[in-house]
Order: sequence, then C-alpha cells, then structure tokens
Amino acid sequence: MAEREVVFRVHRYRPESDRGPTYQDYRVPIRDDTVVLDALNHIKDTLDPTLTFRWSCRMGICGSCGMNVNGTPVLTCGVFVKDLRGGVVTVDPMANFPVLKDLVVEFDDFMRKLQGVKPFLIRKEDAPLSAGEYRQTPEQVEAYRQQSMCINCMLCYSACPVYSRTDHFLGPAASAIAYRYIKDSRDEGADERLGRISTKTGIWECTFVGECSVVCPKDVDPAAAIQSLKVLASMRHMRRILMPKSASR
Amino acid sequence: MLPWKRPAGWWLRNPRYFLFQMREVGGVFAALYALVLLWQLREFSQGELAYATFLAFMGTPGMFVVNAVMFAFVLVHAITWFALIGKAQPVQLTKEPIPWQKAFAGNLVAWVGISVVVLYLIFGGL
Ligand code: SF4
Ligand code: FES
Repeated sequence: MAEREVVFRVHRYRPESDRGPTYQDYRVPIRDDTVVLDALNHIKDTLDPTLTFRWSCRMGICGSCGMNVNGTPVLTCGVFVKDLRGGVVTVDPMANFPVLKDLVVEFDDFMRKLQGVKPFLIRKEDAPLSAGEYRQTPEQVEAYRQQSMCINCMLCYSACPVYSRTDHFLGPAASAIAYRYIKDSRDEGADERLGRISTKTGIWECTFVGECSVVCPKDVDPAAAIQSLKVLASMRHMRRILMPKSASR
Repeated sequence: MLPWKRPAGWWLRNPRYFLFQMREVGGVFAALYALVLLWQLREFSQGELAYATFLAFMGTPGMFVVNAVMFAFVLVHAITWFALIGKAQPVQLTKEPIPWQKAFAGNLVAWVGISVVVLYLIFGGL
C-alpha cells in the first residue's frame, strides 16, 4: 500500500506551563487505511509522547475519541485521512467545552445534564423479580431504538451553536436520551421528565439549527427528538389546562 | 483549564450555520413586513388621498428594493422552516414517521396552493 506523508497541525495546551493554546505540526506517514486516531497514536508512540488525547475502542462505539478535525466534530477512529481535503489536517479538541490538556476536554457539565434527565426506567412500582423481565413487542422497541443508539460522544454538543453561547442549555444528547425513555413502554416517568426539561434552559432553548443531527455518528437525530419533545411538552401543558384532574400522560 | 470562547464569525465557518442565521434574520424581516402591512391598512382607512400617497411611496425605486429584500428573506425563512417541519413528529402521529422530503414537498404544495387561492381572490375579478 502506498505511503505518503501528511502534516497534522495539532492543538496543544499544557496547563502547567502554557499561557494559552498553541499548534504543533507533525509529519505522519499515511496509508489508505489510516484513520485520524491512528495518526495521533503514531505521533504519541514515535514522535512526541507528551501529546494527550482520549480513545479506547477504535471502532466507533465507546464515544471517547471525539475531536474537531478540520473544524468538524468527528469520531477520530472513524475518519480516514485519505478522505480529508486540504494539505494539512488540523486537529482541535471538541468545541464548546473547556480544555483540560491538548485534545482532552472536560465534560462534567454534560454528565450532570445526563443525570438530570434520569436516564433509566422510572416505575411507579417495581414488579417483583419473580415476575421476570418487562416484555416489549418489536414495535415498542422500535419506538425508541433510534435514540437508544446514543454513545454519549458529545459531538452534538460540540456542533451546537446554542450550547456554544449558553452552556446552561440542556443540549442535544441529554434531550434525545430523555425522549428515548419517554418513548419506552416500560417507563412511567414521562410526566416527570417532561416537566423537568420543558423549561427555558431545557428544550425551549433550542432554536433548531439541526447541526447536532448532521454530526451525530450514530444517526440518533437529536434535533428531531427535541422538536418531538416540544410537541409532547405542549400537549402535556394543554392537557394540564384542560383536564387538571388527569395528570400523567 | 482553558475555558471555551466562541470565535467571532462562527456562523461563517459552516454553510449550515449560515443558512440558520439567514432563517433567523428572515424572521425579523417577516416582522418588518407585517408592520408595512399594518401601515398600509392604516393609510387605507385614512381615505383615498392618503392611500394613493402610500402607494406612490411604495412604488419608488428605493421602496421597491426594500420590498424585494424583505420578500427574499421571507422566502428563505418559510422554505428553511418547511425543510425542518418533518423533524417535529412524535412517532405516534403516524405509524411510520413521514420522511422529511415528503413533509417538505407537502408543505410547499400547500403553500403554493393557498397562495394561488389568495391571489385569485384578490386579482381574480380583474
Ligand atoms: S446524540 Fe449522537 S452525537 Fe450526540 S452524544 Fe449521542 S451519539 Fe454522540
Ligand atoms: S475510540 Fe471508541 S469511538 Fe473512537
């Protein structure tokens, strides 16, 4: 396989010594099957062991290798260098998050928001273990399958200009995951979750840019989930006005 | 830790961000145009002379350009929203979600249809 060299312009930031971020160039030998993450590992293994970045599975499922490559948020294990345009490949940490070091961002904010939507089945009363598992038909699974594919990679947050400006916004993935549980026939927490996220800093902060769905590597379509949540929240609101007695969905 | 700072001109870095900004700005122009319509109504209620003055003013080249710009932005606003409408479908409305292309086309057709009816009602008698 033919090899050639490509220049990688990599964002560096060492909090103990650097005042601000800088870029460092590395020449990396590339083959047709080299992905951006391979190139970063090549840099770390042979050129500069101080370069810091996150990764684990190398197969697009752990969601930890997200970075901005040539300005676009991607999973670096899923992007072939040969498919990138331009002579230089620029690698930045994911936008919209504080940077801890080099290409590593701090995402406590996302974890808090994820916890806030209660990403687990809520039951008014748990069935006893002896009753076995909660059963679902294939159609009932299909109702939330798309959103359940989320791997928490946060590329959608990195792409969202609303989150970029106002980081109190609940954001795409946490909303999509709330929707995933609301649509789950085993779950009984729809009313509670809708009440929680139907706020100005929740789903109503979204102005429907739609870029989250463009960058999502798992086709979760968080933009669609948020708009559907807006419809559900409005219906809940109307129901509360018209039929105050019957809460829940 | 290096805090996040949004770069100036972020919306010029990606054509989809740019289109989004145009859609939002289009909302402002749509509101402005509504004001023009209200103004027109007011002049209309003031009698023939006032209305003729209003129409003459609207016919000047400057106002023609302003109207053309407002119309262009209103078009961008409407069409970009039609393109997004298919996304807001809680699945229970239909068994299978309608693909966005169909929702987009359906809205365009309805829009053109209603516009034709309105135009016919206004100019049909001429
Ligand atoms: S919704 Fe998509 S882009 Fe966002 S965290 Fe989940 S998998 Fe990643
Ligand atoms: S390394 Fe796991 S998703 Fe890329």
